[in-house]
Amino acid sequence: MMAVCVRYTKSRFEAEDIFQEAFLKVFKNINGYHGGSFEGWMRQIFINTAINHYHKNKKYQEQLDYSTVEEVVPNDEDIISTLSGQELMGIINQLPEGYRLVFNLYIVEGFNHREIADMLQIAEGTSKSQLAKAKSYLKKMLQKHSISENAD
Amino acid sequence: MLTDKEQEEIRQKLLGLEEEPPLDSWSKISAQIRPARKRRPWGWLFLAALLLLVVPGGVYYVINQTPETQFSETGYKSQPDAGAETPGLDKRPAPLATTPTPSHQKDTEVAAEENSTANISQEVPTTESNTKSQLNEPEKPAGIPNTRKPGAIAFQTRSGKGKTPVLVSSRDSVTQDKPNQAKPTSERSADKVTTISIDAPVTAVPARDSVEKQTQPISPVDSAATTPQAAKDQEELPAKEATEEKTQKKTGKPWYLGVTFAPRYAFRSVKPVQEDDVYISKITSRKGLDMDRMGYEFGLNFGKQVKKNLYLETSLSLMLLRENIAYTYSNGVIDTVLQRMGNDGTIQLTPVYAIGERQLKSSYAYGGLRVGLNYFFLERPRSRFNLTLAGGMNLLVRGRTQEYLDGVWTETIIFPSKNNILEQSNYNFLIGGGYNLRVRNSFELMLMPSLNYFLGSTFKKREPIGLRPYSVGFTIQVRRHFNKS
Repeated sequence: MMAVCVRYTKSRFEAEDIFQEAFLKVFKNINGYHGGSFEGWMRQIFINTAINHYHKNKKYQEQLDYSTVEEVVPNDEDIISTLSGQELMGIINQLPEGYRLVFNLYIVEGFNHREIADMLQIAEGTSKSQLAKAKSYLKKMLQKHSISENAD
Repeated sequence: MLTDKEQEEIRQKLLGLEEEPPLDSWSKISAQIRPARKRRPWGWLFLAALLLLVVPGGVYYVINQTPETQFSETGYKSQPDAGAETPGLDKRPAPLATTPTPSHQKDTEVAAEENSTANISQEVPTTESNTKSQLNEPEKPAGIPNTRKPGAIAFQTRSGKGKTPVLVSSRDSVTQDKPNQAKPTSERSADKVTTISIDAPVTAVPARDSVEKQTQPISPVDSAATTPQAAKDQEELPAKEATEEKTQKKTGKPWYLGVTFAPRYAFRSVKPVQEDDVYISKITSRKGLDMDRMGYEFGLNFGKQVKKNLYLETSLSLMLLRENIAYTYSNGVIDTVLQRMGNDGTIQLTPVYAIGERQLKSSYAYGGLRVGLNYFFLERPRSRFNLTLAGGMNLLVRGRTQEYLDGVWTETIIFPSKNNILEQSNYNFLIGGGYNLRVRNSFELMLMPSLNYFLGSTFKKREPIGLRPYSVGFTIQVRRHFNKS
């Protein structure tokens, strides 16, 4: 569950805060668990806590200037397989907050756009758009990472 | 753009990623999820159960309470007295409606002696005047001529010690008056006896134990009324009559039913909870009337007279109370540090804490049971004053607190929670003095300013403050009186 928290935060400290808060919610709302996958129920609480955290701190989050992202030549090499989970996480964490959130919810957790739109209180189209941009941005970052790795 | 294969690969790698939770996280979490003490709810349950047992019991006791002295007297009169069983007294006919004065006893003894040779069941005239004179002049019962009609069953007087004569009839016991109504102590009771004895032949009969002996020389007609069986029947009559009297006394006390309406304005005394980390720097009070603190009470009242001017009152009430409190607080987070240079060149740093404002708007619906005393004084024909003292328990039926942080609504808390249905229930005391105005004959209107003080904080568990509300209200009660004396 700590990994879930880390995925939705910029720093380890934030992740630990969310971890504790979410765990408290789990204990306090244990009566609300009515069967099914306990891990899934728990994971949902952690994700919701992380999203609430995102909403609270939204106004303080810096927005990345996307124009600074360099255009790189596409590389057909399978970059992802060469990366460890931690490295991959590090790259994904560099995504702008909104992109990262939608990317995690859609690609990793498996929510659809309607559910993501409800959770983040955004339009469904915005969710799709954010995901597309996240994918594109991530691809470019992976290629950039690959280039820099090769250069070394 | 990432391909589906790449996306799946990313997903697998991220889901497979494990992160160690912080080492001290469990200690922090366990400190916050420590189970709430269960002792308090049990205490509440115990007190509620005790109250529910004691209050109806008390009310039942008061309702059924009748003056012991009167009862004893009645019971005493209905029982044959030991003195009446002495040989000397057995043969003496008891005087009719007499008072046990020594001179009277002497007279009755003489009369009895005179009668014992002739007809023990001394027959008396049935005319009202005769009976009256007999009651009023008990020392001459034997001298009254016999005017009993043939076939009529004799009235008998029963008494212990010859003190309290009782008129009974074996033929028509239903229409007989109560034994104690024949008391010669008042003109009124004497009248009653007289009235009843008009239609029936009256015979002066000695005490119970002497009935058999004294009925020996009676004519066949009279003997029917004075057989042992008849005497036994008549023995039971006073007991029945005493029971009837008891029943009458039970319903005899004045009581009333009332409906109450009372607007109530809530005040409070606030005490910060010291052990909490939150520091309350200021509790905001709005000047003037705050309509968010205005509540109402509706009630049903039952009162029964305990003493002449004292009524025991029980009431069921529904209270709708509201509260609005705002406070400025700090969690100890430093917002700014002010730097100041001293005269000696030292730099002094003064921290300025970040503060926030929290507002709680609450509404409560309480169901209450209250027991108290109403003392009436300065009574006039159409008005009187009262002083009321009462106490009771309030059970929170439904409550709601809206929380605002820095003016922005954040949360609405509904209680009581399912885990603790006695949450925020409390006790209260009420004191008031009022003016009562009689409307028509049976109704009364009471106008009473009152102060209601609540024991037990309504906020202590949830907030860093303890709040003890009290309300000032104006009680308007309409009552209907029953069994008015």
